[in-house]
Amino acid sequence: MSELDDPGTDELERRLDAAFASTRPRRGFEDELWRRLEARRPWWQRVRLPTQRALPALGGLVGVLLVGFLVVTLLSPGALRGRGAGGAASTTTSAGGAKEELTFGVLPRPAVAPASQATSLGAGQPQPLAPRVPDSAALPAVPPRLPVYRYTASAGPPNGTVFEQAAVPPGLEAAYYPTRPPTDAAGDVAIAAQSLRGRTAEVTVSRARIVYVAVTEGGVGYLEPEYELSGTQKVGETTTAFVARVPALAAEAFR
Amino acid sequence: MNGALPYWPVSGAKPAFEDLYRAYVDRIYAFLRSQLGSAADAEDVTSQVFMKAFEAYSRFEPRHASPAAWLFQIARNAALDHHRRAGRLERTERALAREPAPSVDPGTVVQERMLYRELMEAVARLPDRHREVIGLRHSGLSFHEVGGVTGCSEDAAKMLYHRALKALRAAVPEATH
Repeated sequence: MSELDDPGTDELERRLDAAFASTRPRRGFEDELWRRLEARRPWWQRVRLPTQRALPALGGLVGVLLVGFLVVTLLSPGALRGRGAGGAASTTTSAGGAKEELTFGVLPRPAVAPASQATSLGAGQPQPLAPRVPDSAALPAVPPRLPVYRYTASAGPPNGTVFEQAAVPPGLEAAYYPTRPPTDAAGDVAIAAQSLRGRTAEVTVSRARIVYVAVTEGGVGYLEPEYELSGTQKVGETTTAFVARVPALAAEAFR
Repeated sequence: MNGALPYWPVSGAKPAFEDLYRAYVDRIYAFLRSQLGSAADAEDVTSQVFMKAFEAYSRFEPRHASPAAWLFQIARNAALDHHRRAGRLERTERALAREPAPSVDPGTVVQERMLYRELMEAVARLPDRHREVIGLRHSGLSFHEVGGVTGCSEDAAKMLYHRALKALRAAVPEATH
């Protein structure tokens, strides 16, 4: 490093390098300080989903299709209810999901992806294949009802913020809403994949779990449960990975 | 040089603050130790640096400065503030007189004390500009970044650094043996 042609100076620089490299704070200082920094953040900024960090890496490996909320774009509340087997399944799992029992009233749907990304299923297009959910798939056991949390929008996380289920803070106002099974949600992904590709897509779901998504409307915010589904979709000879989030609540929970 | 600085591959990328913190907390601490001479003061000011950085991170624009240069600029200012508040000479002498034993394993402490403690203390006694330029350079900054942080050109930073090395060598001749 030295530009001085002097062995003594070179030796001094080597010792300085070693001195700086070996000078470290006491054990535990780094984590203590980080906890103090964390304590200064609003609670909704303290949570980072593992998938939020992993997705960029996945993107380099395979063509990851982040379906996200696209499914919501495609499926209106009416379509969800009238979609045959899936719709029927959702009503059987929603224990008494009458709208008058929904404490917070019917909920706003999560934000949707731009409609231009979607191609609606036309009458002449093939119907989507039923999604494949092998026995090995890791699916959560979802109770008939899950809590929805309500907060003042200006004092909470912005629209679209995603939380681990276990990271929802205590003390928020909660109300239970009827759910639908993850296999039903997988059907939504199959329809979305079909629509995106315009061809028959074989969707295989390998994993599903519950996350919470912030949905704000006016001055009110809600943390609504959603399924985060992951797996593969095959169109022709091309197989790509996907991660998708779709509502975990039954259709009658939404406007 | 003191190892390669953490690197985010996308030009202008803004890492998550936690990633920045984890990558630089040790280096900022070592830099401040060389500026303040005391482990306790270095801890205090390291905390202040990251509190300030945390508050300002939303305004940090990586196109204008690397994360390293931005953090070390905050650290340098914090060290200067610390010296101004306490009176540098008094603070340094007091710090050196009551240097606490770090709570790391004894073997490491002994080795560090024998080899490097005297050197870091000698750096802390240098005049302000010499101390800063040695601290920044051996924290991994390029001369261009050292100049940016200290408000001079790259060439001036190189010249100042070489003068600082000579001054340090004169102060601790045994370090070159």
